[in-house]
Amino acid sequence: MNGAEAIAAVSGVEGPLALRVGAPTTQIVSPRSAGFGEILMAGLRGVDQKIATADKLVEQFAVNDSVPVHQVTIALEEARLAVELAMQVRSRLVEGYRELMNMPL
Amino acid sequence: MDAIEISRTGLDVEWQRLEVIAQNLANLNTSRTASGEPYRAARLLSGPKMRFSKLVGRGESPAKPQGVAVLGLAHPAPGVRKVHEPGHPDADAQGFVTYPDIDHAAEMTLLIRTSRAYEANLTAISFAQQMYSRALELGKQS
Amino acid sequence: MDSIAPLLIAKALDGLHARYRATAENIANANTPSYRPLNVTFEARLEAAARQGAEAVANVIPQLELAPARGLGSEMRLDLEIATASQTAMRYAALVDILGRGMAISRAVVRGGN
Repeated sequence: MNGAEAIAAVSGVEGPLALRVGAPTTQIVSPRSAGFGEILMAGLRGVDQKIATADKLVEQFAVNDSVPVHQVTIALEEARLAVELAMQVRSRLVEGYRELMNMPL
Repeated sequence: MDAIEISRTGLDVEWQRLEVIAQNLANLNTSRTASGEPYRAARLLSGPKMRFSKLVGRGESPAKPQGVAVLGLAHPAPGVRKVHEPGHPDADAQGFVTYPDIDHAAEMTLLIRTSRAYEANLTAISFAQQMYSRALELGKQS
Repeated sequence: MDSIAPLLIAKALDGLHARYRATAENIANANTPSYRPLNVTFEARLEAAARQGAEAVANVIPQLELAPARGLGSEMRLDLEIATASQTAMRYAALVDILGRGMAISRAVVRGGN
């Protein structure tokens, strides 16, 4: 599975959380463009892209000594930061969801 | 680590140049080598290592730098000088002995330049190593 | 991530380690008359295998070679052996470091922000 799927599976994020809160009978269909879910998925795709770029550079560096090492380390650091950010976002979302679920209604 | 490879070729070339200079100095007075000829002064020729097609091409900017290589050995004219020494075993019919035309001072000057170039390449390698290590420190938390 | 990067790094490390040992042997023999230096090759084969996939990469093994016998009067270049040792050590360190960074990314996913 690619990076985005891994993150999604681990964090259990399925769609726009904010829009799934509420009585099950009133299903709100998320708007297509600029919806929270879209932003989230776009972000995850960005992370996946960074991981793929870093992976490509690592492969090139492993076989060819001419790849400048700073390109590899920079790409790896960017990927790591993107992943950590995504993880933080996921944590906050889960936290927010729990808070909402615990509210007495 | 291309930069270090380039400096390495520099080390190699200067080392070989040093050997040629040492050879010249050792043979200052060699009027007769194994082949019967007097020793001739030699100069190492070196230059950038580029594909020949680029050299004879349109004269545009060179391709990726690849370092230097030995291009050959030159034997500058006249190469020999004659000294009047009638008693010398290698003297010719007129009493002249042929010695290599080696200028001791010129060889020493070249020796100093060569050794400086050699050290400069060593320094370049050490700087490249520092750059490499720094690049690996990116993102490291203490 | 199912990438062959970790495998490539592992194989490159194998090759570099073998090269370092050969270089150490050469340096130790600095004063051995008529010594034939050892070298190790693997880069070309690893690069070719990388284009073919994981199985080809798994089959790459560093090759130990003996330099051709030199003529009279030529010596082993101790300074170049030292330069090789330095280059090999640096590249080894870099690959280990990079492998670690890749693992840090996987760890960040596993930890999930906790």
